[in-house]
Amino acid sequence: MVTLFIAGLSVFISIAQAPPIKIGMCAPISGYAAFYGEHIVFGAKLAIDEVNEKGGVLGRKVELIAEDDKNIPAEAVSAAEKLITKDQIVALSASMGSSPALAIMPKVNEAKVPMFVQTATSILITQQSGIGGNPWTFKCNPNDTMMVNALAQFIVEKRGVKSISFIGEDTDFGRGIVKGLKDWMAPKGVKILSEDYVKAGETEFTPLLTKIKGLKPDVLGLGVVGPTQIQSLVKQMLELGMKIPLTGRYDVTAKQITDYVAAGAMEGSTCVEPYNQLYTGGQNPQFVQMVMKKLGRETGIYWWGVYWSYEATRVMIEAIKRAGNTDRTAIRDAAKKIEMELITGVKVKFDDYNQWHPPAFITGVKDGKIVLFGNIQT
Amino acid sequence: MLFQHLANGLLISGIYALVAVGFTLIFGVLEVINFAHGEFYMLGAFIVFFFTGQIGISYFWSIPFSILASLAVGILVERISIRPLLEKSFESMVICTFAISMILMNGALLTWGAEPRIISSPLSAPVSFFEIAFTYQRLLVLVVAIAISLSLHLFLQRTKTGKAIRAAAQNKEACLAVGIDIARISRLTFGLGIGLCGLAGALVAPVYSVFPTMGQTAMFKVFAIVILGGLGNMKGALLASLILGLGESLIAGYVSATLKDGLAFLMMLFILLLRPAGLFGKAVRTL
Repeated sequence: MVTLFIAGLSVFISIAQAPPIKIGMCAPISGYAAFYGEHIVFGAKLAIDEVNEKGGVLGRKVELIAEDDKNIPAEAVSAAEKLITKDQIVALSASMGSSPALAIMPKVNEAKVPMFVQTATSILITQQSGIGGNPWTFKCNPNDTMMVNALAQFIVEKRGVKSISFIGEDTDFGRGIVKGLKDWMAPKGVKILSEDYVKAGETEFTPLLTKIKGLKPDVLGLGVVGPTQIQSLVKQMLELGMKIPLTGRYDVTAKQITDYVAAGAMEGSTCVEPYNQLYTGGQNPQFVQMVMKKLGRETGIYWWGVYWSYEATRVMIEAIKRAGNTDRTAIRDAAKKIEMELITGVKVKFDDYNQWHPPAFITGVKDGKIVLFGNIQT
Repeated sequence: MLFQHLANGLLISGIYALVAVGFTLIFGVLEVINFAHGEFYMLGAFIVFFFTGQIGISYFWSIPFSILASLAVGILVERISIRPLLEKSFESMVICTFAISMILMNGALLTWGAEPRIISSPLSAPVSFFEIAFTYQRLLVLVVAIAISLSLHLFLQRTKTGKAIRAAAQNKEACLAVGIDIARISRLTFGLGIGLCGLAGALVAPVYSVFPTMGQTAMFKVFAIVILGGLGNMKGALLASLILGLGESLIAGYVSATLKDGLAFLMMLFILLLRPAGLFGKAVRTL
């Protein structure tokens, strides 16, 4: 009896003392993109707390080690290197920006560490993953081309858009969005009136907007994502007396522009999102409630980051569980086979390019309110 | 359309100039490259946000608070970190102002978070004059920028204190010999420069939005402007801002927005090669 007790105790102790399984993350914790980084880290912690409350995975706790990449490729590479070599993480969650994610990819391929991309949306990531040459990279959220094709289809077919001007930020992200929209629209006879790129973080758009005002496009296509930039842009459009509906990849629900939406300044604008908190399918309403409760606020939340970081972390944990150990190759092979039901109720599986095909959400402004127009399977 | 582009350029140059005057004052006179300048500007904007958004007083009343608070912070920072290093190497000063920049930026991040804040000013409403659209807020920035740079110019040229400041810039030892109090000059210049940051932050805040890294965005070009105008040259900074604001507006309007950010640095390169004292600077003999 005593032996049994001691044996039991030692098993208990070994579980309690087993070192945690370390998951790494590269996110912009400081710098101009810190607002997004905060939410991406939060999303991953949500998933990790959930599994730890249920006793962890493989009898061990899961620990998140988040490193600051400032959304700069060079910083991201050194952050990833530190996580892989010093912290000995079993898998990596990255990255907010496409440029940092693309910079880390050769690193994880070389070090043989599975990486799950949550927020970066460049098509290049998908094209270079799986049979594209990098079997260690998995892309959870839909990429720009997938989303933008859905949006282009919507505005051309449902809105009858005939001409467009573009403003993109001068990054892989911004250029990817503009190219995606343009490639779909030009063959359909939509006139491309102008195409300009501004530096990331730019808040002065008046010179450019003045030019676009003169061109009178049906819509203004944006490859600019930050709420700070969108807020400045809409404000400056108002100052110049312009009323052109916006379209593209930006967050129409951002708190910074709610006043403009309500005032009718953005009437007819549309956007495509990798996730939308207004969606009522699956477990989404419960998830949204939980996030708002934990953050203690209902607005000013970077939803895409929270949601996709959460889903990416869930699939990482699931892969560790199925692998049955923390061997990086086993985790990668397990991830490949997982068919997971997302919070939105949709089942997804990584394709040959290690890309999931979740729905893209088309939202926009109607009568001064933000409406979810629908979701399109990518 | 051309007039709108010119008006845009003019108003943007006001923003550049307002941020640049304080910088050129500290840079040109104390010979301190203040890497924290953008962060003092951000602090000025956040002080306005604190007074209007969190305490609830009107926008105009919060402007003097922002100037005074920045002035106080400037004098404090000068006493504890700048003055002890004035006699030390150039590198220690660079590192020191870098440290101040990081402390302020991350302090703001901790206090107010990364989320961009909006400050509304009664002057932010769009107006149109002969089909040229603008806001009175931007016009105010331009007018204040011109007024401040010209009065600083006069102050430096005509008053006794102004002359002492210029003397300190040229030769500190000689100043001591004729009884100019270097510590006082340092305190005054730094305090004034940072106070101007408070003013700039307060006035520009309603034009864009307020966030911890806004200083970095602003300083990006102010460095170039100050070099173009000549170190410590108020009129030079104003004129360089004007050239840059108008040039960028026209390039973005008629050529490509992608190229506009290159203009400042292209001009800076040529100036450094051809006229190192700046477009409007006279070569000064320092001993």
